Amino acid sequence: MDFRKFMQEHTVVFDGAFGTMLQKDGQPTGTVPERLNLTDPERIARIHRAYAQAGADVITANTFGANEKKLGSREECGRAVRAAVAIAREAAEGRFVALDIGPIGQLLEPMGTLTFDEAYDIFAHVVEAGKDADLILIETMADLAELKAALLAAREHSDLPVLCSMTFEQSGRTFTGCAAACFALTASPLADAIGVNCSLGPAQLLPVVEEIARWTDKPLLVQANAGLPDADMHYDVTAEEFTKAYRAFLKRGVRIVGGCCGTTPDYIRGLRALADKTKPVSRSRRRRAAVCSATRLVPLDGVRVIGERINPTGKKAMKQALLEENYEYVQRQAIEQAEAGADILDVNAGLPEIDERAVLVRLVREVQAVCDLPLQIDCGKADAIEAALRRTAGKAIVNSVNGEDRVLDAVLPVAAKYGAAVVGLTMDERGIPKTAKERVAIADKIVARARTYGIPAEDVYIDCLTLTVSAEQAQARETLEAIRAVKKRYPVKTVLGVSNISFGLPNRQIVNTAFLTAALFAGLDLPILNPNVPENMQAVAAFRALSGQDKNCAAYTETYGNVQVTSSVLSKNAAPAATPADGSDGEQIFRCIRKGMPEAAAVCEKLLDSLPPLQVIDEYLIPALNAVGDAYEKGTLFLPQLIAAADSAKLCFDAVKKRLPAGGAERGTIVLATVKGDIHDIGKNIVRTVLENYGYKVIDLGKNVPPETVAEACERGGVRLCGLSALMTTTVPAMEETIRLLRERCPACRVMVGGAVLNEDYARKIGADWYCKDANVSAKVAQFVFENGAPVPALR
Amino acid sequence: MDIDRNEFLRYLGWKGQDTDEAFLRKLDEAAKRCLQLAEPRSAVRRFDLDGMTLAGTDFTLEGEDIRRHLQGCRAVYLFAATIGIRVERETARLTRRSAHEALLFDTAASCAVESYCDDICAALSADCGKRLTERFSCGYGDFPLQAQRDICNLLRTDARIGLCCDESFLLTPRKSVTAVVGITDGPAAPAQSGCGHRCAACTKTDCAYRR
Repeated sequence: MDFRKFMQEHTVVFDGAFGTMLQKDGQPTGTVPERLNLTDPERIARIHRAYAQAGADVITANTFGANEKKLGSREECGRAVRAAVAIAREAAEGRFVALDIGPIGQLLEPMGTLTFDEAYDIFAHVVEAGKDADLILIETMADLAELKAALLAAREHSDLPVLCSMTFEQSGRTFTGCAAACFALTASPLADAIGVNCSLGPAQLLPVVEEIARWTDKPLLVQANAGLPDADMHYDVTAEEFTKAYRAFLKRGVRIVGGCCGTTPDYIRGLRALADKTKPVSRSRRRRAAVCSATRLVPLDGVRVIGERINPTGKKAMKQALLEENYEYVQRQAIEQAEAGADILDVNAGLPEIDERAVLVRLVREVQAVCDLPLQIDCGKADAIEAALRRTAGKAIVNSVNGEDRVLDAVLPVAAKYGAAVVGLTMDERGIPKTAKERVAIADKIVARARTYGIPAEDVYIDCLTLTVSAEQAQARETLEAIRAVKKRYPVKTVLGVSNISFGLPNRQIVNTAFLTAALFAGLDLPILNPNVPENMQAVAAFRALSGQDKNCAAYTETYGNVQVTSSVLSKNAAPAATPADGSDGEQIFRCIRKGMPEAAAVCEKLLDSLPPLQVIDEYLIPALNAVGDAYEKGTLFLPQLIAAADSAKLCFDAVKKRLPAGGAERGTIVLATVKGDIHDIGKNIVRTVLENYGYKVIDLGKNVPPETVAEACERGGVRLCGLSALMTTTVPAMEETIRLLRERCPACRVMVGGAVLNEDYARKIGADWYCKDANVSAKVAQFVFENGAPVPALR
Repeated sequence: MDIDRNEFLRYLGWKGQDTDEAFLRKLDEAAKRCLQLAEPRSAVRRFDLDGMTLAGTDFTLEGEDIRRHLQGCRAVYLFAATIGIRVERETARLTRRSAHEALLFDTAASCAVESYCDDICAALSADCGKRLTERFSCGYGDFPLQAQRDICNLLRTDARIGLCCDESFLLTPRKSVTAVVGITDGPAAPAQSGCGHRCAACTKTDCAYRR
């Protein structure tokens, strides 16, 4: 019988713990159990048979840790998996056999070194090796990105039913912080059943399962531990108590049960009896609109702001950042918008000069690394959308489709596959209709078509489109009317970019604020705007208070209770107020930088009023930094003080740069990277800060950077100086390899290295030009290379 | 688990330089934020020693230094501790805001994990009623960094506390520790922190913390 069908009609009983049984069988701890599939198949079969006799419907093959990272090679992994499925098949005697997939055992980027694509590849191989199983069980996952890689690998390399579970702590989150609701929203579209396993006993898991149930229609799966272990790894819930606790799960509609650590055939016998005497309960729930990242759920039960800043259209600095692959700028924009109160971030890579697909994927990765807001993938190309959705850990919004069949049929299947929400623009091949009525008609079509692809109305966000009021004055009303009509007809959400309304008018914000407010009252749920503009967030806060979303106006009072709101002219770029009172500007800037005071920027502005920018750099900023560097070297300042000084000098440099043509202040370009296999980048980041504040342009390639990427960046830019960092002896070989490749491909580029285990000898041995014991030395090397600074003798 | 201000300063490389109120306030803020975000978890297991092999396993402690360190011990605690991934995320975020804030926060996290390890060792010592040796970690002396993988496997740190060992044998999340602690025959004594700072007897002459 097909497992999917079986699952619909029965309460399915899985088997119990494997490791626990192996230990009882006298297997030494620490051995890799999957190797036994090849060396001692009978021992494995014995355990399977015991569970089969206890009444399990599904026998889980001994493949939990069978991946190439744990077993050492792909071949070994393939052999172990094939053997395990064959052993299980025979021992199962007609019962279902599950291919078991556990975590790879290494953290994915950005916190670890494994990439999403590598993880996908590892899982795909396991899935193919285990194709003779009846179903796939992906379990004990802690990282939503890793789970998604596994789910996609399973979906795309087999037609078997896929069940998945994550492991939660009592807090309702996994070790990596993934919340139960976020797991449910993200995994449901890709799995046949979802649930929880391991970590806790059944009683503690109940609230987690209840939370998951609120966010999914898929059958639920529970494989609890036999309680919690003591120091000798004995578990505290007996088979009887275990079975009794499972009653609560079955009552709540859980359809797949089994045991994890500490459980034995006795526990499974209990579950068998319970399942046999309990009639399966069907679940119902109230569907709610929501999006999420791995760690943050954003229910759309009120106005939610979509931050629009990560979009090059009409934004010079963002455009330049994307062209130069300056993702640091992008990350800063993400953080700034989050701090300003955005709930969701739009990401857009629509520039004709760049590979939109590749850059969109990169944007997703970089923004997720520093910010926990859900994303809106702003793109019209189905392949680029799909590439971005794959790598999004969470449930995203796709922006957008419109009423054209061609667009609907290209994009909706992609959104449906990943369970993304989708923005529908009320326009089609004929353009934007002039009347609200016609726009509503297009909304009708989009909602209906989405439904045929399995996308429910609460995941469709209709955009009634803003036109420019100075050009088409009657259109503002039509937009508002269309929002009202759409909200009346469907349980959909509405989305709208507002700032277009004021194009061509003076003091645009006045009109923007008014239109935003009007749109919110018409039923706008998701304004797309710049959250860094205070008036925008003020209008949203006021609406939340006026509409009752903000109970007792508490959030409004909290935000605006202790501030004085002045006109927008003074808002975000206002200069720091305090300026030191005594001494000349030169002395002041010196003191401010040395003390790491942000006021340095104001003094710098004053200097810039009377001196040419380059002179300010040469005569004030660089000497101040050199003095700080000398003080650090002598030991009168220590590291945090050096860095604080660099931070405040950076503010000065930013002020100077504004008065120079692009690139006019750059003293040279330096590529920095923490080498492949190493994620310890704090030292490299300090070096970057210091170098930038000497006015060098730093191309920071980040951490865990492959040698080829470093060589390519140096080659492309004709770069003359490259800095590499590595923490431990185990990552120095990657540094050596990088230097070798640099010598080959960019012989003119000189290399400085640093890191905890390095010293001059070691640096010489791996072929570096300079060893930098700290950031200060790296600045000296740069001054020597680019500006005839004092000689810094090279190694060798 | 706490973050001692002097310890914090020492980690930052402080050697008596002038500091002002504003700076110290920043230290305290970083420490407070770090303790708020830390999610300390640990996995410990006791093993009898069979020579230098952990009884019931295939894992042998390699190197002269650890042999010397464990002289006279008939059992060890293997332990792993982490303060979790939330701290890592905050460091990543701060790195984009300000190098200074990131440095302070990252250093606070280093202090926190060490302090957490001190707590665990104190509890273990109280538990077994014996004096414990100082913690000995992979990469100390000639005890190979590669052993980190075996310790993580034996303790199943990935499943139990979310701690992984990567291809370079480094731990993720970064602010984590694995170590071997010897159980001596002596009675429990007040706990020591870190290496114990017997600098004169130590062979690691290039240690940043050498006194």
